[in-house]
Amino acid sequence: MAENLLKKGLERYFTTEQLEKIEDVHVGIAGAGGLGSNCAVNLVRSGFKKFSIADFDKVEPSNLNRQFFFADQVGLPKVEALADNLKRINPDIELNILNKRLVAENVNDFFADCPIVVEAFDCAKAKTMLIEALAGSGKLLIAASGLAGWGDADELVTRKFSDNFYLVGDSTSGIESGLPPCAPRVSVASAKQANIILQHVLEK
Amino acid sequence: MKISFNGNELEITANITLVDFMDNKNLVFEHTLIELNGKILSKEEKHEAILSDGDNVAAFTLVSGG
Repeated sequence: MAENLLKKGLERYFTTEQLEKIEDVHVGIAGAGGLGSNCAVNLVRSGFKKFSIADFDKVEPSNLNRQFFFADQVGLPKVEALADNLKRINPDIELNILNKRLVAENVNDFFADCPIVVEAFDCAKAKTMLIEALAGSGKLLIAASGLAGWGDADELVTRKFSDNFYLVGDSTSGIESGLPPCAPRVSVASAKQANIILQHVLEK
Repeated sequence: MKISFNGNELEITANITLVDFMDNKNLVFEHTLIELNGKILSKEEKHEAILSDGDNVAAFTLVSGG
């Protein structure tokens, strides 16, 4: 097997024990849009190797302003395009991808092997569905709400609830208010989601 | 009876269902997470919950974007 250059680089920053912890965790990502694609990139760069990622959508021109896709990927299923992009960072990642809509009936099955799940949907109704479907599951769940526009990014805070549940965002800046989703705030929110996971895994 | 709602004490009708309470507060059922006594409720639990004296209720309405 070819030398894994990402791993070689990561060994400069993490101990073997830390890397083993990171590589061992299977992370679920619900949605491969602005939050999901960027959170996945942050996690792969941090050494995470096992993922289950679901999204029913295809890459569109209106995604390129903030999502981790390239112009030549327009028209491809997001999960497939994201898989290709993540493998360019680490060719040895293990991906379980689903090109289908997650609904209350399939969420628990799809994420059965994931002790950690990222809520990375666009629509508030789908966000609520996922959080409620995983409530009480004991999984670490990191959701986001309120990240549209270009206002003060320090307002994108992390709130911790019971049952390993975190919510990132300012709670109010939704696209319902006419605010566009822009790269900087979406990136901040998705990076915060990834950071909670990294901290959790390294400090548990 | 009295409950705590989003940190404020509130006098409400005894044994009101959570569904009716959310309706009175104009909280959209499909977009609003409910934390009841420190626990995030599942959709089924939201449908079935009946509020009791002294309950601690917090509502978080989610917004779109991602």
